[in-house]
Amino acid sequence: MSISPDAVVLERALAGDAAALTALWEAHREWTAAILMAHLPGRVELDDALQEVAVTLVRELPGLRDPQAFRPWLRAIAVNAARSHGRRERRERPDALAAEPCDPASAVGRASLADEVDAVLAMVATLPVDLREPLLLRAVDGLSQREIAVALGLPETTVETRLARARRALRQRMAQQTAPDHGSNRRVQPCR
Amino acid sequence: MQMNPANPTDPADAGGSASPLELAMSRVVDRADGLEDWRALDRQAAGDPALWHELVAMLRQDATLRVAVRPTVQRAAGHVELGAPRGRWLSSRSTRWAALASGWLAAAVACMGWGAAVWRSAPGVTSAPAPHTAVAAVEPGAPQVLRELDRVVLRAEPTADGVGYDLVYLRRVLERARVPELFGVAEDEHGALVPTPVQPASLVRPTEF
Repeated sequence: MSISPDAVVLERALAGDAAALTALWEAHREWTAAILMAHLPGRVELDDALQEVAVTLVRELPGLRDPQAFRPWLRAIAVNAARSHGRRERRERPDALAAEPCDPASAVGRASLADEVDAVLAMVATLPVDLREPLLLRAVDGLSQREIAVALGLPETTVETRLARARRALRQRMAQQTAPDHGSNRRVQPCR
Repeated sequence: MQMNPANPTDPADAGGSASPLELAMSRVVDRADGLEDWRALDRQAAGDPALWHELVAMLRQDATLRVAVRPTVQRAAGHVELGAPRGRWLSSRSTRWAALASGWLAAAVACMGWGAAVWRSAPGVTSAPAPHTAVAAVEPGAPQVLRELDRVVLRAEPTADGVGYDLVYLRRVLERARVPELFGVAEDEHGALVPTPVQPASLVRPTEF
């Protein structure tokens, strides 16, 4: 079994090296944020949830028994943090979740890149989470299909299939939204 | 590959697999394509030239997604630092409480490492008995400053121009703070530092303040 590039850093962090812990976090925080984004689609409190993951990482890392399982372990922390935030939001801001989602089509037809970005993000939020998660992880720099497979605890072929399905679904939804007769009678809000 | 905008069903939502053609297109997007993928695409496009349009649209969609995701993720990640604690780090329920209360994670962790080092090494302060070393995760808010102890000169050198000396010294400020929990530091069987709850009675107090 090959040793992942950050195995040495992880071992040093587990041994109590603070600089290694910082390096470990910096190497993994972006894809962790992508996991949160996949599980908290359209939400704004990404920073708060990521802060919670960081705190849990510091608190729980000494208990990590298998360094090879670091990525799925960190992913599980992120998923739990996202669920916790989701529950908190449902409890504290029920109106926010009950609000009608924005309409991706309102941005698709417009020309600017910012609108196109809004539309794609809104479309991604409508995908099932098992497709959304690998798609967002792939969009983050530096994560190969193999690394995604390790993080998600899935075979690499499954990740490849889910990516293909996610792209097809996203493409189909974009095509649906740009169809001329789309949404003539729908009451929707424009995207931010 | 024909997309059917009028079809409300979305096979991607229902689970299942991807066709060889969809896998080939996805590999092109991922820059993981091979000759066989292009042969499959060529064969399909011979009867359905719109496939090339779909492939271009998928590539554009992927580029747009990267533009959408990366800044958001990088911005969030950039806001959440562990700080740069020197030496050894520790974990504690107290730090979690403090960090969740006001985003003080970096400060709390750094404070703990710094506190442990100073407690062990500062002249005039008696160390707690082995194997524990007292560590405090200080609550958010200003601690009460009691007084400043003598400064410890670490280095003294004549200045380059011969006037006076360059000093490097340690300032020691005695503070009082309220902490929710007390943790000590002990070594486990692998020599790693681990937090251990301690009772105030087990700590040696250098003096009363």
